[in-house]
Amino acid sequence: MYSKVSSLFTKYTAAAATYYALSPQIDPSSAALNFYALLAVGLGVFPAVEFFQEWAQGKKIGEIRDYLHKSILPKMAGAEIAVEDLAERYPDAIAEMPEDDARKPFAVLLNLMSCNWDDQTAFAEAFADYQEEWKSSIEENQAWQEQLSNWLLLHQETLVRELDFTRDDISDLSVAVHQLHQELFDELRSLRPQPPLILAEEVYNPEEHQQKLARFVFTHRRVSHIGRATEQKALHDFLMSGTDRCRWWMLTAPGGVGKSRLALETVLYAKSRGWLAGFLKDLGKSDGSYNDWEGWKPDRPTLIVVDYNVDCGRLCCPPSRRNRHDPEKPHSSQSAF
Amino acid sequence: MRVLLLERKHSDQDPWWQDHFASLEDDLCEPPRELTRLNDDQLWMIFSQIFDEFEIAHPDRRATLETFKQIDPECRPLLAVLFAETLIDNPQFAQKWNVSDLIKAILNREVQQWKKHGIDEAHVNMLVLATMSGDVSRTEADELAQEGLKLPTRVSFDEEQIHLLTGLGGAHGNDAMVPLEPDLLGELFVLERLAGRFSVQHPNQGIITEETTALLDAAWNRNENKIGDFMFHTLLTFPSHQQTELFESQRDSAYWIFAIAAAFGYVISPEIKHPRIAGRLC
Repeated sequence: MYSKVSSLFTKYTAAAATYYALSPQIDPSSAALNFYALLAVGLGVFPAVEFFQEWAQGKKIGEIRDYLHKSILPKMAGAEIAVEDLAERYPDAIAEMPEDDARKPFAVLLNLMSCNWDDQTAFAEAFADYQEEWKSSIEENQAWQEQLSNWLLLHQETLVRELDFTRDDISDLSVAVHQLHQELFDELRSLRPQPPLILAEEVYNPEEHQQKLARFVFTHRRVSHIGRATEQKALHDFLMSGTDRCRWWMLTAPGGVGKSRLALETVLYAKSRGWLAGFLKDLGKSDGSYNDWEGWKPDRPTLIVVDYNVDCGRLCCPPSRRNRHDPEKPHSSQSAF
Repeated sequence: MRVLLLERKHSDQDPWWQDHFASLEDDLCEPPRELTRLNDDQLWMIFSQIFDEFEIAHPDRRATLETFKQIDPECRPLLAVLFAETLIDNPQFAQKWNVSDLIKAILNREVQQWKKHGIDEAHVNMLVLATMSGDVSRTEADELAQEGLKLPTRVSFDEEQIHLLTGLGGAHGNDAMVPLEPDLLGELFVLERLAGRFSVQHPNQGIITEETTALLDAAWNRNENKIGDFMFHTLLTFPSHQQTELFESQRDSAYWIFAIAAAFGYVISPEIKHPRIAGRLC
């Protein structure tokens, strides 16, 4: 609005100056004066107005540029991405376009939208065919599942027999692996000396053991471990708390009270926590001793159960005492004691 | 590192205790702890489990526990199991038995099974020797048989009999005889064999006693630690058994033998263990 007013004013001034300059009834002397005054005003105002218009137009252009930056250009960027994608899909359509137009995303889009109906139709038709194929494939699959289900019903018994056979095979394999593991363990033990500890737990099976004297042996755990909760708690504390050095504890009770069973439960508890634990094995040597302590390097927490003190002979002189007597002497296994 | 010792009886004056543990610091050695007796409810749970295993009706609780406590005032779980099984065979059990009678009843039933399966005296002797002095291998039995002991030779050794006597399967191997367990049963079995009982073939008790006494001597030669401990525990558990007199006499002679050996042994080697054995037996 403002620019329109200024434009009209400029045009009016120019027209007025021309009228006065060419009008014959005006006194030439005063007319000349008026002419020059008006001409001067027109010449002065016109550049001012022009200048003003340019300023106003420049501001407008700035606003337009800002608008473009804020709204159009991001859309343009999106269009460019779309065109890149389309150019890969329809390279021929892009190649046919003039070089200048091919650089303009919207031009490319317009070209594709107006010229590729045939391609889109072909795609839609191909998609419809594809759906038909999927449908028939699903129907075939359903038929196959039905056949399989019927076959399973017909051959159910055979299948169960086969599965049992496989289960037996797995069981045999498990036993074989266990034996192999034991052999490897023994081999490793021979390479790396450690006290011969055994975990004497055996599974009690009434059908197999009920008629054998071994059914009374604690290792079968034939009856539940009854009435020893307090002692078990104390033993767990004995294992887990206190010093890292070797600690000894003696349990006493007449034969048959359950010392060995309590120790067995403690061994199982310790083993479940990653300890090396077990009953010191009778090596059957005439002196009853295990003399490889020097070479033994405990690599984890260890619980040794010595069932009856005759087995203390196997421990020879407790290393803790030997340390006391000869503290200067370095001793690998003594560090744990 | 934790070491758990199991023993039937403890005294601070025991030579082996003095030898190994008396001077240890307190934080290295806990005071010995004696296991407590089971109460009636706990005992009855053991009885119930055995009755349930054999699928028989539970007898009267009060009467059963009362009888059991008369037999074993210590109320030991092992003896509760033995008593429960004896009740299954003889529900009207009301005799004035003691611990030895109860164990003998179980052993007797076992020996009858051995007889049915044709076990011979040589293999039973091998079991006796293993019970007194630790595992006996087939080779060692043969060597001792060559020295005149009544044991299986290389030819007569029968793996099936080993399996039947020990009740243990292939996992333990059939090439060696292991001790008769539980210990209480093994100890009384040896005492009874010394008395000439639990024969599987010989009707003559004297021959059984003679053979078992010879095995006792052989045991001393095999493993003095084991036989010393075996005798100690047997005397402790069955102090009034008739055959413990034989142990007493052996103990006396062993003491003097070891005491003299110790006197010389210490001069030769301070590591010699005879004084401990001698002290233990006395």
